[in-house]
Amino acid sequence: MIFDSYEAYKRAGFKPKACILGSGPAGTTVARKLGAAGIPVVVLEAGSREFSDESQDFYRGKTVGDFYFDLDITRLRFMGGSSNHWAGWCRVLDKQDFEPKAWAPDTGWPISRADIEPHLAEVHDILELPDFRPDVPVSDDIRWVQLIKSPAVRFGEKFADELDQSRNIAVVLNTYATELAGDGKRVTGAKLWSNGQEAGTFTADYFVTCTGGLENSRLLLWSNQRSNGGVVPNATALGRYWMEHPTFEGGNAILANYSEFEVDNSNEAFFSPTLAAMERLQIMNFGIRLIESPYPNVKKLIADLACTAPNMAEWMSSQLDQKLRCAAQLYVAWEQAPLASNQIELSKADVDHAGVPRIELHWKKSPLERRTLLEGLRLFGTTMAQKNLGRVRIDDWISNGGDYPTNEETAGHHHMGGTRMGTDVLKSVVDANCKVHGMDNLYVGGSSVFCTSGQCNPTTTITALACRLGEHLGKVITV
Amino acid sequence: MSIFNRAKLPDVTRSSPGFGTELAFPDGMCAVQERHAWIEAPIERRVMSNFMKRMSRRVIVQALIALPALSLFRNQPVVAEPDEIVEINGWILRRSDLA
Repeated sequence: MIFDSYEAYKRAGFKPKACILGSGPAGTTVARKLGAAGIPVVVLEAGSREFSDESQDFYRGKTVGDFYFDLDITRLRFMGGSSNHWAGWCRVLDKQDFEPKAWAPDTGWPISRADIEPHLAEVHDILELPDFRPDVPVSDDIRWVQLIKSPAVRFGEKFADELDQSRNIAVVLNTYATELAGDGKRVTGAKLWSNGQEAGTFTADYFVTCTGGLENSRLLLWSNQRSNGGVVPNATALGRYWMEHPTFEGGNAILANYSEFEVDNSNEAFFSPTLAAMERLQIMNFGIRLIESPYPNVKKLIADLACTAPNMAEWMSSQLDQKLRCAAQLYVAWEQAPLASNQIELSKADVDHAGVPRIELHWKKSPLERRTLLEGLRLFGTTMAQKNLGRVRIDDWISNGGDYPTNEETAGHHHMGGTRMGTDVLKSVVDANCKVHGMDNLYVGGSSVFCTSGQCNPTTTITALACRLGEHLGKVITV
Repeated sequence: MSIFNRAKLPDVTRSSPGFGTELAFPDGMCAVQERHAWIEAPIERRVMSNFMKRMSRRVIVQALIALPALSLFRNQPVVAEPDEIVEINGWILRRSDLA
């Protein structure tokens, strides 16, 4: 069932056991799992079926620190959530991403990769993925990894009919919780906002916040403030350890053999370090995206020349009326070290139309990450040279310690952390089952529970964790 | 000061009339030495003079011919591994790429 307003939903007389906030990949997946288990669940979606400026305005915020995207650009607030602008790149966090790393404080998850693997078959169905091929070692230091470009499932579109026909799932559009109320043990209710106005309070036995990697922290920070700590009793880490995948062009490469690595339809291949290399160099995980030259024959020769003799290549390419670049481009995305100082705060000066403080995001890249960028490229370049697969040139700004460019990709629009999973209540917000520490009926879904970010795009792992959470709740919630 | 080093001094050979090469240098050495301030110590002059008297012209010429071979006994710099990885101007290369 899908309702366009809370009023319409109320008239239907639906009695849910659980309330899910948000209809993105996490919220929709948890709802489908509960619905399949015969548990009545309501999904509150703040936006409608389509993008609107009015809805998007609630996402405006401010960033302090390093350059970052506008917060109302980097996510979407309508049915299906940010899957609506997802590029569809898929890969699950590596086994090593779940392990603690002695050289990087506050790393390590309370679960392992093996805990989500039983759910991957279901994830493949949801995201319409073929099987991943195993990583291929290129050297002792570098792995050739696979990142699948999926059809980019828009959860709102793909599952709209299924949700509409479900007798156990009610989706209420244009409706969300401005705050949760709690007594330090349980969430006792939610204050609703629907179609531009207050819509009263709402109760359910269980609440699952799946509002996104920024908004989960905002909702819980505000709710906790309003309930005097009654929603997140252990709130030291709430909003903290926020992470992204910084992404920059890192250099160029001349390849010895263009058929050495199978590339995807975008002429791209991906490489990551081994755990041994990370440990030896004491760096974080990273992913190098090698974009092969799309040029054939003479154009390829000129593009190769552009690496070593740019002026000559420019002249030659101008003769061909072409703009050819150095043979292959290297982009680097890396894992951020989880830092408590990278955090989501509530603005003290700015509120949205519902009176909820907007986000003030404090975000800076650390020296460890800068070292990861440089040493990662060196590691890759060394492997390419040692194996005679090609030669790599690192961009000057990286070699010379220059400032990060502000006209490049910057980051992946991947919002992770803020309500991280863990066993230490001072350094985490939820436990291994995504339940908020100290609360009996409040769970969190989505990438905000990530302890570390790994190097890969998060949606596949988000969906796997949501399957796991849905299965867990299916056993916990009694009908 | 060795014969080799003196032979490297171009002024000496040029100032010896009729001798345009280093091999020809010993013939006029004593006279040349007298005219140059860089040999000032009398004892050195004496030693060198006795040394030259004992040496036949053939021996001296043979010694001079053999001089280039001395380089074989000098400490040679370690030959770089061609597979060694070096970073030059941002490029990560094999040493052999630079040959």
